[in-house]
Amino acid sequence: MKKYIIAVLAIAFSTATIESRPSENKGLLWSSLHGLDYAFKAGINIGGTSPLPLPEEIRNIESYSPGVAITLEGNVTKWLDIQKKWGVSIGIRLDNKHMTTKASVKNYGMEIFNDTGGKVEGLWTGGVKTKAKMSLLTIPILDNYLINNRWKVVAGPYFSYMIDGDFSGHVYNGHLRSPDATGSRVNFEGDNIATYDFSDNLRNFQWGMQLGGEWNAYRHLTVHADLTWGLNDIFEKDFKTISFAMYPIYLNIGFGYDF
Amino acid sequence: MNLKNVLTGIMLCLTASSCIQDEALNIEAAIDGCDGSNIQLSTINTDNKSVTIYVSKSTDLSALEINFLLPEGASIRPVKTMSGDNAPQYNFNLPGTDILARDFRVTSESGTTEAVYTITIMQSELPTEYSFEKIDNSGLYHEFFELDLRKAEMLQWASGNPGFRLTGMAKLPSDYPTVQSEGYHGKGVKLETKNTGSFGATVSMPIAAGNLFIGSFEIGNALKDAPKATKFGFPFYKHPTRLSGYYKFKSGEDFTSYTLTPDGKKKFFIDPEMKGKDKGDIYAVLYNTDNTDDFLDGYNSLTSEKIISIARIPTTEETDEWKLFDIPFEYKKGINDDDLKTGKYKLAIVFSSSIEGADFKGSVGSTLWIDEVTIHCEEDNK
Repeated sequence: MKKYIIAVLAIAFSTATIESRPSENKGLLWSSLHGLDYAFKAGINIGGTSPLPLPEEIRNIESYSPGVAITLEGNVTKWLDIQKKWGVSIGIRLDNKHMTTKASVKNYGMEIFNDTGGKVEGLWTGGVKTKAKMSLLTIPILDNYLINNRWKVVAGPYFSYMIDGDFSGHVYNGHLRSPDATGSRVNFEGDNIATYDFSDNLRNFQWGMQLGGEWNAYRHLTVHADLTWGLNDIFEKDFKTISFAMYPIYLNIGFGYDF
Repeated sequence: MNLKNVLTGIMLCLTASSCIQDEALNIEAAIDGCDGSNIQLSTINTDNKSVTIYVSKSTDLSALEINFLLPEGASIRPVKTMSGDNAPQYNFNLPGTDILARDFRVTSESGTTEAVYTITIMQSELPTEYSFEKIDNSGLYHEFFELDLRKAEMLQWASGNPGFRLTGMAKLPSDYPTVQSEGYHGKGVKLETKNTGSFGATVSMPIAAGNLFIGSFEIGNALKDAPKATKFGFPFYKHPTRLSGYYKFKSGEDFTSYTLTPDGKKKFFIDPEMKGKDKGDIYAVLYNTDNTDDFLDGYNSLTSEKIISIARIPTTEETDEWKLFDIPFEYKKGINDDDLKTGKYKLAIVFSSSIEGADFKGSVGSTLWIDEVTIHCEEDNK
């Protein structure tokens, strides 16, 4: 984790040094005259994919680890007024949203699949380890407002296409009531675990709202924090095993370079 | 400074919206077990919501003690209360009825889930002739019964089928390891060692031998401690002499075995030396019990100190034709006739398509067919 932060810092600073040479690019100048600004941002996503509010089935979050989720973004801002206070930006971002959690649940809908496609369904009471990893191509379309020379706030929707997704894990230390609340009880203890994988039920299109701020730290170097809040369920509509919707909520922190 | 405020605000939002809610009341409603001082054996079927409880002939049915094991917070009571009901004692003295059955309603802690179980009391003795003609095939898999109302004999055979169900490998009743098939006379039983798929592999149970036995299969322990889930035996009041019947056997090919890793985990592999050399198993055991809930299980059914006598087939030969087996009971200890009369002895009969199946060793495809089994006893002049 630390290693990656240092790497991000290094990239940010090296680009900043390159910039400090007094070489003016004609294209950039033209862009600037037409009210267009370009920026490159790198950061990490920290957050979780979670139901909101937490449903009563989830009793306790025992552990949480965000994993390393790097984001890279290029964007262009069109300033709408001469003072360059208001603008609209569009970007393209390679987004990674990762997390691993261990939670204890009660009567949590669960399907356990085998390799032949057969499954056992039921209600799980006990421990659940969940690994959610999504790689997305995201297009944020944001309103920009420059408060002063150093501060900028942004807000707007984003649209994501999931390139790759993994939502899997295992259940441990508890019991399965199968096939429903009046079915047979099967105990799991110790090394007995059962794996599940809902990766194929993830939705490819996601959208949500993004809200954030950017601080101009030094010349072209910026620091940003953006909250992305998913507004549609990460699972397909006809997926009923998990009885509640889950939304990705991530905070993106990183550095940027304004050309 | 400003950024810090924004961050704090965001974090506050997140934490406020993700608080753990108050715990909801449990919605589970089922019977997970029943015992009582006079209960010799109970079988629970949560699919058709029935419980069969076997008690001895001397049991007072007007106040039968049944302690139900229920999900957390759930409650149970008879659908129609009768005089003499005083939980955990229930009145099963039902004059004028052939079948001693009453309905009980289980209600979940939340009150939102209910299930009505029919509880049937059996006061019969263990039959000594088994033809495997009768099955209940209303469920997902075959369940074998032996029934002789004339002699007041009744038995429900147990098998590992409920455990195999958890693998999700079976689509039809015929996909289960224990099924009814053509027998020596009429129908018989076919036991086949099956692959348990990826689910079985994750729980270190890569194969499931077909088995059929006198006793009960406790699904709750099937994954936690499988050999403990097979409880063998039923009270027996006679002096057994021989175990006879007909069988056919065919070994499967690749033999699944395991070695233990240093941390005590099972590492499964295909043992080339055992290819096509799997064996089935057929045996009967008479043993002494201290109380009614005392059973032999998959660990000690052939080794327990309590064993009085064993009749076990020396080996199952590969054969396409039905082959007779007739094995004498070999006595390790004598029978105490007083104890025999008072129901201190239990008899178990066990069939398995892989001799080491309880330890998850065997060949997928090994098949044992069984039919027309008899326990010969001194009392029957056999």
